[in-house]
Order: sequence, then structure tokens, then C-alpha cells
Amino acid sequence: MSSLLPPDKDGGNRLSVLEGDTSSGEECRTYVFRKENHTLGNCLRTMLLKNPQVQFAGYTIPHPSEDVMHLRIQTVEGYPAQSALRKAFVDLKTHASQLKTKFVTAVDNFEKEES
Amino acid sequence: MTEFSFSSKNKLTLKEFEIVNTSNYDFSGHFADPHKQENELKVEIVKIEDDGMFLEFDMIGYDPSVANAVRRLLLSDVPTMAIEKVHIYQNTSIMQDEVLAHRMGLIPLKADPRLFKWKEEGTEDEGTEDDTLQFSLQVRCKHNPDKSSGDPYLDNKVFTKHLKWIPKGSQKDKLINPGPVEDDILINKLRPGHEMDMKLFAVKGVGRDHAKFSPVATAFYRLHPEIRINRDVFDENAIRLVKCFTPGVMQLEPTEDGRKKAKVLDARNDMCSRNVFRHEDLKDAVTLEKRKDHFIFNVESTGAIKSTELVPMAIDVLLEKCELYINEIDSQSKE
Repeated sequence: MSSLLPPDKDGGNRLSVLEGDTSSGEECRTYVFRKENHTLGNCLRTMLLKNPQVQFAGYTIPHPSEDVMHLRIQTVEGYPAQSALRKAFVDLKTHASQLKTKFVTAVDNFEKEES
Repeated sequence: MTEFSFSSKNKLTLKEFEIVNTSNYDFSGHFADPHKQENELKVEIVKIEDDGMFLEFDMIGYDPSVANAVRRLLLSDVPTMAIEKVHIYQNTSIMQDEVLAHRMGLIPLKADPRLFKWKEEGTEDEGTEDDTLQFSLQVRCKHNPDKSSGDPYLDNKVFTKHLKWIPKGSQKDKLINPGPVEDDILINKLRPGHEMDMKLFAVKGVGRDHAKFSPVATAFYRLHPEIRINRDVFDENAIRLVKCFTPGVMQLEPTEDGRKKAKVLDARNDMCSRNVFRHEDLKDAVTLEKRKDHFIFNVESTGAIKSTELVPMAIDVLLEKCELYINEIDSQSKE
């Protein structure tokens, strides 16, 4: 069984940091995602905003012709933006797993009731 | 940080010329609760029809970004098999080669994409048994020698049933009939003397690249409507009020003094036409609202994979993406 995600023809990292922020400290970063759009962007933004140590979180798609998404994170003193991003991914993973479990259980129960 | 309870404010209101209270109150520093209690989040299946190909289910308590992500993933990120390369050896029909090839790509195939690998770019069209499915279409139209029957021609309509699967390698042991979902999809029309001879190669792809790879006929959601009656409406007015909504949403209820009163039976099926606002005297009698965190999903599969399996696949794609990025963050921070 192969991966559900199509292979990346261009290779390299799909996540990078926008230049210019590293001098202002660890607390503000703009992350550049290749081949991502609102599907991941809006979910990540929601997870980031649930984190009390995040002061600013927003995403944008600079141009619809380019498959690129920018995610801006600003956090409180002493909490690196990268940790916030990683936590958002982990939280999203947990949330999505729970949703999947609930859905699969609901389908099983429905099919049991039908028969 | 102030904490509000927004339980009464999780509804948006449909007014005559505007929709009010649509925003999500998601800005940093505001939380109703940091993570909604798990028992407040629910998924309920409402209907499964058509041998699992049509599904209606509810997601309650979830954030709209997650519901929208599921919808977008279903449309564009769950893989399917579809015909990509068409080798045309003979086509003397009226339809141009490229139009015909385009139509072949849009035919939904029953093959399960999970059993196939992604085809690498730059490899030849024939492909291997792990990443390509081969079909052949050979039809020739002739005059019908049997003058008595109604049809003057033989094989003048080319349907998907004329597609023949050519198994590669060990495919015949692993796959059962990976052909088109329906046998009666019309591909082309011929007249005597016209001939079609082509080889078709199907590969795995995602809806993002081309809509033919989308596994759903469509997937959409709507918010659960709510109708509140502000003041009782009787008799003639009640009949008019009931007519304003989709049938089955409101009904007339007899009261003790023999009159008929309008009552909300089930707001779920209302199509939110806001027809009430066309009647000056009935405008204020009802308040039309929608629950912002109750999503009614409809998922209709094209036939390759059941809708009940498509939704978990869509969430799996999201999980894989998260996994990918967590690994990239970890490997980048080690540098």
C-alpha cells in the first residue's frame, strides 16, 4: 500500500522560512509552504490560535497561480515560533485522528443498526 | 483574557438583506475553552444509500476550518485511477482524436487506487503492473444484415461496455474487473465504415491535477438551519407561512379553540430560501438562523470507492501531511 500523497517531483523541503525574520528573535516567523493551500492553512491557523502563547497567527496565499502558502506566527517572549508550529501540527493530528475514529465508529454503529 | 460563553451566540441570523453574526471569534487571546471537550464533538451518520456510494452525515461541534478541510480533501486530494494516455491507432469516426481522448479520461473506473503505486514521471506510457491499467477499445460499425430488425446498423453506439481490460503480469490474480463503473456510458456514435482502435492507459492521480481524478461526484456541506416562531400565527396566515418554507419543515397544528397554528416540525430540510421576507405581515413572525458548528455533509462517490471509506481516506491524507511536516521540522531543527 503506497502513500496517499503524490510524490513531489521538485524534491527538497516543502517547508521553509521567509528571509529577514531570524534577526528579530525566535518569536516571529513567516513559514513558506510549497504545494499547500487553504486546506492545511486554515486548519493550522485555527490550531495555532488555540495556543495561549501565540500572539498572532495568520496565513495567506500570495498569488493563486503559485502553489505557495505563507503562515505568519508571533509568540510570547521565550516561546519559539517553531515550537508553536510543531505543536499546531501535533494538535491537528490528534484532532483529525479523533474525528476519524468517531466517524468510523458512527458508520459501524449505523451499519449494525441497519441489519 | 476575558472568557465569554458563546453558547447562545453560535448561531448566525438570516435577515432580509444581510446575514448577521457570521464571524468566528477566533483571534488570539480569546477562548471559549482552549480545546473543546471531546464529548462535545460528535459525528452522526444520517443516511447511507446506493450500496454505500451516497452518504449523509453530521459533524457537530467542529470548527469550520476542519469541516472545510475534509470537504476540500475529498474533492482534490484523495487519489483515484483514471485514463491518462490514449494511443489511437485508428479513428475514422466524426469525433476528433483529442475530444475522444478527453472523454476517455472522464470515464470513472472501479479500480481501487490503494492497490496501485504512483507512476513516475518520464517513464513510458506502457507502465508496469504496479502503476498502470491497460484497456483496449476496438469497434467497427457495419450495416445490419438482418433487415427485419429496427436497427439499420450494428455497433453504431460505442458504450463503456466495449472497453476490454488487458491485464498486465499478475494483475489478473489481484484485481477483479477494474473497468468502468457503468457499462452504458455513451462514448461515441459511428456509422457504417467508421472504425475505432485504441489502447488506453490508466494511472493514479489526484483531483488537484485534473478533475477526472476526483473520487466524488460531489461533496458539500451546509449549516443546520433553525426556525424560531416569534409570535403565533393562525389560520390563513398560518397556511401562507407554512408555504414559505420547504415542504415538511412547518406544519399546521390544531389548537384548543378550533383554530390552526403554524408549528416548526423539522428545520433540518429547509433550503433557506428566505421566502418569508416577501410577505410584509409575516416577516416578523419568524427568526431564521443557522447553527455555526453543525455541518450537514453530503458525499456522493463516483463509484470506485464507497463514500464511507472516502471520508477516512481524506482524513488520512491530512494526517500524512501533518506527519510529513513534523518530520521536516524535526530534521530541519537538527541542522
